[in-house]
Amino acid sequence: MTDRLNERTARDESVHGPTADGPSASDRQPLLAPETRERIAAEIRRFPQRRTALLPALKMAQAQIGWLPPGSIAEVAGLVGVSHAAANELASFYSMLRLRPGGRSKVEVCVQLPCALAGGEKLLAVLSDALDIAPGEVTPDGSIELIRTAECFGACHRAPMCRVNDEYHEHLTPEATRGLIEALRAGTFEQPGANGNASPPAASSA
Amino acid sequence: MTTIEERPPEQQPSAAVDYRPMLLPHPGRTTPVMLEEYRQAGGYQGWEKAITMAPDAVIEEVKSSGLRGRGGAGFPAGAKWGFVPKVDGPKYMVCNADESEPGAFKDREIMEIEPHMLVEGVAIGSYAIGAQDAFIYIRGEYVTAADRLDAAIAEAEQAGLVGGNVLGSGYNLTIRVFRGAGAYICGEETALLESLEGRRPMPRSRPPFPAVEGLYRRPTVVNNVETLANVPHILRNGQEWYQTIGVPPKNTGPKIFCLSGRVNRPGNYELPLGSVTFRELIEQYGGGIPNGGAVKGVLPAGASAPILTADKLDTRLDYDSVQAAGSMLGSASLIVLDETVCIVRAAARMEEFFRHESCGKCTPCREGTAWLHEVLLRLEQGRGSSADLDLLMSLSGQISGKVLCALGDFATSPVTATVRQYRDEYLEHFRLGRCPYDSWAA
Repeated sequence: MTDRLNERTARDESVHGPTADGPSASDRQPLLAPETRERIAAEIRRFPQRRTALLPALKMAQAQIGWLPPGSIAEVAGLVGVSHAAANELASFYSMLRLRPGGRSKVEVCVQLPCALAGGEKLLAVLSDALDIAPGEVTPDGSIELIRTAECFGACHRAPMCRVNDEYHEHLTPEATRGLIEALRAGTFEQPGANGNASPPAASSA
Repeated sequence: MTTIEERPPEQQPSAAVDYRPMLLPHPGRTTPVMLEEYRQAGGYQGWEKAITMAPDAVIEEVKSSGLRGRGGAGFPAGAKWGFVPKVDGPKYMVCNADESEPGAFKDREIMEIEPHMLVEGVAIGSYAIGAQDAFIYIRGEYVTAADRLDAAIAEAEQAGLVGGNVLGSGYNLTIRVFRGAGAYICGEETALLESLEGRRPMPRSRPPFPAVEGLYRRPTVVNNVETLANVPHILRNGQEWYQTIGVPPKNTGPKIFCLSGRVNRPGNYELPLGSVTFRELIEQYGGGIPNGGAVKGVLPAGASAPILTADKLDTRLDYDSVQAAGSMLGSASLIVLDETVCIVRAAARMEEFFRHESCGKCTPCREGTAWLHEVLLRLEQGRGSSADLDLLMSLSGQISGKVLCALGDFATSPVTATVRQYRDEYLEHFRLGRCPYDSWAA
């Protein structure tokens, strides 16, 4: 099954040309580590239909690399058994999936109405000042990305709040915010996989 | 990993209504109620009872209880189950845990604190409709809740409460947690099903409805978290008991009211439907408005339902009363705006949400929400004219009712309801050539 799918991947690339991130998949090391491929294979077995695993598989790829370079999307498509277009459709839709590298820690500040009414805008301004970057930017050392979002995270009663990667930080009083800034500067939240570059993981198996 | 243990518990109000919460029986708690504790409190008794009953009798019990869907539409839950055709082959139970409405944080607390209550509700619902596979579709950001649900399901499997041959009955049930990736549209049930199938989450046109053709084109029921969390209580204590809570026959049972915005004590408050008014909830539970301020308006259902002006504060919080007052109870995500809040800016912020979350399938919604947002921003800065108000209303009319799903209709609420009810405030902006309000308060 997998071999046939890989053939289709190669054929797709021969039609569409190499993907933007380099030589075609057949000539280069896979981006996905063996452990990631195993996790994806296990995820496919969890569901009545394999395509249900497509979104979880993309998230697994991103968890390893930090974002989704085109080659990784193609590899996921091959593993799940769908076209590149089908995988791209998801990768380009969901806000938690990222098509560009970003900071090693992502700080998302909610400014939707309930948060805005409870200091969300001020929190964003304080973080922006402290990190010396505007919302949407990454610190020069690549460690922190500040994101303004008008999505609601379901923490309106504990506003103002932000998410740092997958963690909720709520009730962000000025004091709590100072503590958060210190922790961010100390690199406390940096994710080992999220190095923001697309180089394949060091060869862990032959 | 998570900071949840460090959170200060929300302050607790004095009991204004004599009622003991059942969905969130431990206000202020941050740790999950796991299997042993849940069972000591009577957990899974509803499930043990249900599985000795005929599936149709379970549906009948829920129908008679009067339980209405807690996700927003308020559709009778038992009737929804009854629509599933009696056909062979797979059927699916799907729990909609994609809580993303601005101002909604009730499902999160149920799942984080009472994961077994949801698992039990999913089990009873699955059995009633004849499904052997159930999915809990949870938004990707709710990592803690998803982890706790996974742990609860594992415990329940270990105890033989779900899995193969449940409680020796011969019934098999697999419950899977499926984590989303950030898309409000996945709260729309057909978009959710597309997402579960690994496709772009864009709503389907109906009919066919999911009960007939849902997940994998098979009969499927989609229920909200809070709806399913009510079910174990109905089965355990009986529909007659359930009907003594709230205002029978059409507004029975408890409802969690998510109170946020300009109130002193925001939080989840579980009360019988119709037992309090907006004013009572805000004053007696929410501790009133900061600095003794006055209410300008309340959004009863997050960004999606029309704002109610302060003269409607004595409206009772149940489905029919809020509808009679000109809005919708919906998910009961109440956002309170006081006199310090610029209504135009609030409308623009909500419209930014819909613009971002429109899936793009229907042109009127995709293009229209962007235009509504642009015009609102212009008006807020005092650069608009009275013609812009007509433009807003006309644009809204071109979206509402002309799209596949409710998102487009919801997206016009922040606009039409504020232009109609706060017209003078809009006019003042372009009379002054600027916004008369300070920047966001607090």
